[in-house]
Amino acid sequence: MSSFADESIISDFVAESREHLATIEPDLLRMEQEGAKVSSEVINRVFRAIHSIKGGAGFFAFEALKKLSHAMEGVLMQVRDGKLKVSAELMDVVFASLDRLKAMLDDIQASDTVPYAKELALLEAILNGQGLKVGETVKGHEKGGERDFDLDAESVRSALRRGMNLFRATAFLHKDIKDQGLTPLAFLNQALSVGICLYAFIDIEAVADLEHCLEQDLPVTLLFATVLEPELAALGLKLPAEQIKVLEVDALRKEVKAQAQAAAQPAVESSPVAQPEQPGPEPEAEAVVELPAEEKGPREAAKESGNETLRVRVDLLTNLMNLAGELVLGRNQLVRAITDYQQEIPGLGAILQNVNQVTTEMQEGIMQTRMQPIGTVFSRFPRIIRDMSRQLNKQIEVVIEGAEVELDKSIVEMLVDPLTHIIRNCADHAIETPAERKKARKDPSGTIHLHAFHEGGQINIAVHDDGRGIDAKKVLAKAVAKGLVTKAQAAEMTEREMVHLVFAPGFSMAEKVSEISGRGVGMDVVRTNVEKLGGHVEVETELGMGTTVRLRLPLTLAIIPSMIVGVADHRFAIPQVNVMEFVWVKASEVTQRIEQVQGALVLRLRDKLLPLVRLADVLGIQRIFHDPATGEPKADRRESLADRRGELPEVLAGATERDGDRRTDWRTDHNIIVLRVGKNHYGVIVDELFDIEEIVVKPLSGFIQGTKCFSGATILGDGRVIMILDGGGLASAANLHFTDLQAEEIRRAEEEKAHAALKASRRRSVILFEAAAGERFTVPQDHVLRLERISRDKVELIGDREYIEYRGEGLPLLRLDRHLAVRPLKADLEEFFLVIPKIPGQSSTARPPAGILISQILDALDVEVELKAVEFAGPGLLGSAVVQDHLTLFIDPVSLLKAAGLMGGVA
Amino acid sequence: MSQYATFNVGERLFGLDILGVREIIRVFNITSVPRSEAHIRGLINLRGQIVTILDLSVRLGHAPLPVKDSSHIVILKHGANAAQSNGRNQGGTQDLMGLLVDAIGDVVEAEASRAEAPPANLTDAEERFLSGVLKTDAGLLVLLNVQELLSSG
Repeated sequence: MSSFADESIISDFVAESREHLATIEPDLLRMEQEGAKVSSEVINRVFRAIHSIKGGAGFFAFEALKKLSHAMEGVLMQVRDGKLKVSAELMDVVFASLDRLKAMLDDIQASDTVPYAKELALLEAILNGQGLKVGETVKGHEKGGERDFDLDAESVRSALRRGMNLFRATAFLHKDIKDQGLTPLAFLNQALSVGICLYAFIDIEAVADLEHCLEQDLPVTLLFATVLEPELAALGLKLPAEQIKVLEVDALRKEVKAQAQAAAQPAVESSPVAQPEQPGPEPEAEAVVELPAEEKGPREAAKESGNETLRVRVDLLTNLMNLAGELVLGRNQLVRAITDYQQEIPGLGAILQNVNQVTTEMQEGIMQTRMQPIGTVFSRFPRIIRDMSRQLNKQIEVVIEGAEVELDKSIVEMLVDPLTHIIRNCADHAIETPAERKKARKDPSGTIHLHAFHEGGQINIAVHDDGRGIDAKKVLAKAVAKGLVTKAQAAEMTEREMVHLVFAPGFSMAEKVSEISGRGVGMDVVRTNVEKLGGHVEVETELGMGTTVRLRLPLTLAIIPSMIVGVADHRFAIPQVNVMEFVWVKASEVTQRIEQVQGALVLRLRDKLLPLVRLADVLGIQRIFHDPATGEPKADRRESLADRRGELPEVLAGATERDGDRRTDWRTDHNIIVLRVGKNHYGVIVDELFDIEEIVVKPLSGFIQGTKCFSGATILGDGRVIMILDGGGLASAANLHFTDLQAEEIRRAEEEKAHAALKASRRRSVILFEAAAGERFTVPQDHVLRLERISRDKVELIGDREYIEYRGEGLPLLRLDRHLAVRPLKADLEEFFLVIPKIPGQSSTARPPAGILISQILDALDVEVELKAVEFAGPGLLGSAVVQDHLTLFIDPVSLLKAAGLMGGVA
Repeated sequence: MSQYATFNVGERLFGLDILGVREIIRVFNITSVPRSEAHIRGLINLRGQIVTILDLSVRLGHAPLPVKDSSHIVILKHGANAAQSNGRNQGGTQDLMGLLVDAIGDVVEAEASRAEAPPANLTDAEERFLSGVLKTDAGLLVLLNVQELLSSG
């Protein structure tokens, strides 16, 4: 390692090389797609990127990196010169080599240990196939000097063909590089902007010659080719002209000249620089004319990629962001403090407004420095899909939309894994093979559509495929088979819920584990990761048509909208993503809605039992209540909501009355915030609710991380420090057992069911009537065949039995008072009613055995009663119950008739 | 000669090397942290940075300090904090710490090498957090072991 090449310079080189590799990947994909039609600009861009990596690698003496990039450069050069056709096989090799380069850059100091022989061999095979010898060198003779340099023959040939001249430039590390404010790398890039670097190295030989090498500046030697003449090259490199020496490669010049003459002539004529017969170092004047043409490529490329960047440490930005936030607070305080003087100080308003504006813009600007386009993640997917589709023999296209949407850097980084997983799933499972697709009358080529967009202050990322969709029933069957859900749970699931089972831990759809997926650590990790970011993921699918996975994410992690709550005189922030809803239980309803199950408080919320925790209790804060009379805060000593101190004798005199007020006073209403922790929900009882504020999360000091209940701290607009509650930590601190509650819920549901069944059994449809005035009876409606109105003169007497003519026959009449201990009907009634009972097992047209005489029909209704035994029970009485506020006797007409001996013919 | 920032906690006069002190501020709005260790008095907002405040009295095994007019907070220096924590402070070097004290005294100069071992009649807590005593014109100065003070537990 060269002494000057300190860590920071090398890391610059690595970072820059990575950037190069990242930018050329889409270009390579384009080359593959467009084949021969691809613009030379794209090829040039790729070529230059690899070239500059090679240059740097040579410079820093990273042997493996240099060799591999050199071979790649060789292949790309052939492509550029139109001697090699782009094919999928070729690109396989190029991509594989690219990956090796990436691996080398990942740990640059160990880059020589990365195996690359296979890729190198493949590249060389391609080159050999072109009749090129890799590693062939020619001697370059330094004009006016004694030294010869070994040069790569093919590079020299290519340079000569393009009319370039070869130079050896010597730059002194201190004088020419460091004192100019450059790094060796920057110097190298500068050289690359004017020509092609064949080789760069520290000229140890030159130093060793000298006696006082310590006093001597380290010479860096650059062997490079350019169309510029020496003086201009010196200018371009910002070196004194005497440090540029011309290199002559006679043998190759002749060869190239012969080739050029053999080839079509016009090229030579229009481009005199390609005429190699002038052997001198003097490049032709026209070379300068041609410069714009040569240089057009890079300049356009620079415009196209256009994002000139500056590397800044993230912690610096974080710090700046905090300061900006602070400035905003300071501004607010300032504005508040001096608004009153606006009248007295002329122009103050304008100044304030200006400060206001600048502060806001500055804060926004600093926030933006941390923002990165989602495209940095998206851009890796075309490559992944390309490789996978070749592996799986599928045709898959990737469409990217909204790559410019920006997210906080940390979120972008954490999205890589989840998105990669989703994309792989799409390619592996969702998209069918071309044959299957044809059968389904779809385009044989499948599409994966990545779309990022803003919505409601959040970022949405949708990954849509037009594949086979998710079969909800199959997912459910798999989940049941794996024991992830019980059969009972499965029976009640909606289709949507079934599909969302793919997020369950341990779920995998794959029949067998493939290289690509099916290991069962999949979508649950996606969900966990996304939720960790404060986001949300869901799936929509249509069988046979495709699937869409949607991620919703906050713009930034640093600023989160939070609900500010109060307990006693403490304030806390609860991130809004955790808040499901807010429930307000009026003091008067507490007893009905809040109860205790196994010692824990629960709230009945839409037939669910929601465990409750009192924030004050979990955090060990002394609860206070406001005295309804005076409004003064006082310590609240009640142990639980069910506890009614006021009813206990030991409470001080007068407390009973006061407590009574308290239970209906609005200040003792309960504010319950329903929080979500994973798939569990629970309620947190707080005293007060304040606004929703955007808060800047600050990490907790190590001293209080042990408390678990907090995820951080923040500073409110008024400068007050408050803690941010952690939903999960709070639940575990409160010892919430969600499983117990679920069991309780199930038990209750069953109880409810049984209760409902019982209720149904008690439910009766009855006819309510009166016999003697004020005495009420009912008969079950299903025991009544007909109700008839008769007048007294129709009643005939035979012996002491009464009859009536009914459908041409005599129907015996039954008076209740004859058989039950009830009062007789009024004697003076002109009109009666008859209840003609229905005898079970008898058709409705059969002759009824008798009719029961009553005075008045009151109602036909459904009652839900529990019958009580009657003391004066007689035959035919079922019991008694209160119906419509009156005691009512329930009659069983059949047994009554039996007792009266009227069932003769029927029994 | 070293310079010591001195302050009172209860009857005692304590000293910290002034190079380890970032600033001294008056007490305002300390947000207490429920469920934290007893000696954590709470958090304050120091120009946008959150500072964790230790109650020195509780740390030394005594009753919490009442906040009086004379009360101050001694904010310890980042660097000193980081260097002395030796990784025992899991919060990292970003944590700012402050000590709640009863009153602020003068800056006194003394020869660090003349510090004597702390007296034998100390409680365990005191023994852990005190590194020595110095006789100065201002009186007997008790030196604090900041590293232990800031270590957890």
